[in-house]
Amino acid sequence: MTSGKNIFGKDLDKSITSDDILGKEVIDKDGAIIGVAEKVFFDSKDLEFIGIAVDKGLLKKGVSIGKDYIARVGSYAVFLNISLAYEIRGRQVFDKEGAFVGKVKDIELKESENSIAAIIVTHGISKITRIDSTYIETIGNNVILNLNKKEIVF
Amino acid sequence: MRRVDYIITNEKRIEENIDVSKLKGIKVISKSGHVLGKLSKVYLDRDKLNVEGVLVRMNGLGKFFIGMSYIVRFSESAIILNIEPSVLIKGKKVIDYEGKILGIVSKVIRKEEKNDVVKLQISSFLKKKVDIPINYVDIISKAVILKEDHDIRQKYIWQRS
Repeated sequence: MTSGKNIFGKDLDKSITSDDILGKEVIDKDGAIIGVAEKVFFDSKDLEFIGIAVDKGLLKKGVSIGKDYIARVGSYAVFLNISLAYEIRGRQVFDKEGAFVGKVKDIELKESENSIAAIIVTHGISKITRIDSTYIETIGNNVILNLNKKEIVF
Repeated sequence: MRRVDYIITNEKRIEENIDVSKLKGIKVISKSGHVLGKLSKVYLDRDKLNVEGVLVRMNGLGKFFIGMSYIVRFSESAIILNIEPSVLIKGKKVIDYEGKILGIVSKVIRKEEKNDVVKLQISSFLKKKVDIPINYVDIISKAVILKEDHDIRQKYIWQRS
């Protein structure tokens, strides 16, 4: 909400300021609180709002999120329309029969979008394999593949 | 394995079936990959002799009998469900449309014994418990997010209802 006189010639009642974003919790599509908005980015040429930076806490790397992934700015939090692809690191991977395959060590994104191209899965101490996203059935609390463990080459 | 002689008509051979004796203790996994617990028993219909459901020991929640209609895959490694059991909503944060945390889900009221949710009861520190009809809920996942047009009013425990 803005106050005082303005020389915009526009109704500013529906606009928000950086104060309405900074310091608020950022909540993903699934309701998980991923951090706190710490920066607001504007394009240096056309001055358009392009996204926010999220502080994920002391021991975690922050993340920058483009405005297309922001669903709305509420009074108490900023809501995203996605779940962050990076958040699947460490989750368990099961084959289509439910057999444990390994854990997600890393992910490959399609360019710099939030879409997963492949997951890197570790099994045991040293076995690592890359699994293309076409073999992923579900990503949720964990990852379920659409193929059998025997078909995966470690 | 010793050689087995068959006495069958149209039934599948041993290698195409699941050995039920090996199922005890296998994982039970929800639709989203959540490991819910371990399989305790498999129950057959007395008349039709097909699998009617399974008894699952859910981590921290006790035993649940899950009907076959909620099971999408049955193997000797695990059982995969086609649902997220609604009993798991208990304990999740409830967030309103503006991002305000209203409390946590203290009780899940289901439609009979099905997985369908009718209401969620929210509890919050120093506030009275309040029921939220499911039509006010937008998303149930890692938290419960409410729709914009709810009229939930939480009252402090010293306020009259």
